[in-house]
Amino acid sequence: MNLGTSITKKNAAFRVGAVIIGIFAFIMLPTLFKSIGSTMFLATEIFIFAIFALGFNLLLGFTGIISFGHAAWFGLSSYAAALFQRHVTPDSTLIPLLFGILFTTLIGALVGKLIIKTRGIYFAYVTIAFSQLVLFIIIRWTKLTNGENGLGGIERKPLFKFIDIVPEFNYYIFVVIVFILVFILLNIIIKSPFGRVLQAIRENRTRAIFIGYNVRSYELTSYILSVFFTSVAGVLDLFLLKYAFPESMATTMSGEVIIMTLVGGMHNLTGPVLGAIIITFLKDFISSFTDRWMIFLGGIFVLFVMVFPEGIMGFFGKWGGNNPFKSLLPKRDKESES
Amino acid sequence: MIVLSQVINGLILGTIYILMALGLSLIRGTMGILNFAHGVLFTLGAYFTVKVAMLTNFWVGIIIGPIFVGLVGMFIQRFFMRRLQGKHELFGLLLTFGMAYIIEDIIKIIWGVGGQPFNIPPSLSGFVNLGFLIYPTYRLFILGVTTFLLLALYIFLNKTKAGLIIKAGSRDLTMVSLLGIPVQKVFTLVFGLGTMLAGIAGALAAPMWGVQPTMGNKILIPCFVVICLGGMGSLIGAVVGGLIIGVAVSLAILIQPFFSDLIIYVIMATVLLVRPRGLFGEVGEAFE
Repeated sequence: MNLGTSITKKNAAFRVGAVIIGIFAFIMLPTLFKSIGSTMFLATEIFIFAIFALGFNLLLGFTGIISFGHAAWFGLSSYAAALFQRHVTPDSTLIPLLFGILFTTLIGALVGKLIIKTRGIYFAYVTIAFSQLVLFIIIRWTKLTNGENGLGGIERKPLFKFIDIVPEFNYYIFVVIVFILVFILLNIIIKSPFGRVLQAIRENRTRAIFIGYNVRSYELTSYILSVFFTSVAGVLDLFLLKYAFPESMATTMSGEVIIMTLVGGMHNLTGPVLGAIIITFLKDFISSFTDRWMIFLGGIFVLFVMVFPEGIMGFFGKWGGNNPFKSLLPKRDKESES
Repeated sequence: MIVLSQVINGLILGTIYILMALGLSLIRGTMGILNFAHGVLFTLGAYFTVKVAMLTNFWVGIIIGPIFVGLVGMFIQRFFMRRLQGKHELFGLLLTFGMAYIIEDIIKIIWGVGGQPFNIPPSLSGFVNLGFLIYPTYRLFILGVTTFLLLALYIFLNKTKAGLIIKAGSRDLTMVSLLGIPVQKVFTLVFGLGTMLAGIAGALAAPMWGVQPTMGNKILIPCFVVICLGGMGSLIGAVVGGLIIGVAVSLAILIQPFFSDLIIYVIMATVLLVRPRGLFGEVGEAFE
């Protein structure tokens, strides 16, 4: 016991240090980016996708459910916020932002209620079909959404009188702060009793049912939370691009968020972030000289599925254990057992 | 009269869905994975057929094209999927998801992003007077070919040894392997067969829908819905579901073109609400 506590304390001190270094690194990152010929835009995008991947991974990595249509929520929140700013509150950024998140989470909750009855491959079918439905409505409802051309004319206004997110750097910092909040929040969620139940469901669903948990309602809550975080990323992306695209909800986007999680490793919070950094960078780099990004995306899929199914964090990190290839086996957090 | 002709159109669309859905169902039933590459293999079937038909003639193309697709499928199974054996089913899913991206881009790289011209032979390009309706010959040809294929598949699965092994494997794979049957070879065979069915569907649909790299994307979702409606794991369900969806889509066009795309999702939502395991799905198959 004593030993356990001291390790935890040491860990805590280590973590505080890591966080301080991390925050410092986040602020320094754009400067670093510029020095290697990249942009602040890309740096901001990386953190937006990190939020997206984290939200997605709550479902995949911590509940054991895979959605092949999460891009629908990412894109839908963009559109909801864009439409709200254009038609209701043209002078505000905060209200459309909140509206986009709220609206998407509500729709996501309704759809989740409908589809959570299904499992496994069946769930994969319906998630991809529902994402196509959302995409289809957005493309066909041309009067409202401008169809395949997307919605432009979105403006980034100061959040409050004293918080100005209009300049690129300020917006970057804003996104990073949201990212840190999301990271902390998710850390609390997965360490909470609720999060433990989710992981129990992931490891052995039947057993969780027999213990007496209402598994389906836990899964639904996890789905809704995941949609919530995804929509946060979606609205942030809108105010970065100042444009809402139908491509943001295409199957390719759903694939990208899956691969971010897969590349990084899905059994911890650092993995998806790492994956988001790598994939966003790679996409930007490859797209600069070829239109054939999809073949690279597919190639990374095949490579990681075949060779590193536990992702980079699983392969090099302590979560990998002795056998990184034995994926999705029970992985226990050592601290929590003391 | 226009309603009747739309119903026949729907049945023909339905048979294309059935070929796709049967392939998906066979693969899922035996190997337990969802083949996301099915839509792209449909496209590949169309391209192979067009290219072979250019070198030889239509008839050779429509036979050789799908066989090539089956070979591609067997290659994927043999050299990629087989190595994932014993891992969580998720990885099989992700593999085919990635494969779909790769194959679609390879098609674009080899044959370009534009469409390909594809002409049906004169003997099929006319119209037939059915007495009550004058109907394009080619569409009746599709109906004939798919009916024949379904019968052949039925006989194969129920009367031949290989077919019975496949059926048994979808019930209890462990038992089948304990009987000394090389399961991996069965998997390769099934995957080849399933992808070949997708290739045939692509080849048949090519003259109607036009041959372009993204032609497979719009068929995959209706096929998922066909399987949801018919019931996971049921081959009869795939046939009935395919016909219902095909006719529903065709009739909805009469009301409004917009509605014909929407009806697929309406049907899916209804199935999920009312009977999540589908019309012929067995309890405990994918739904408890």
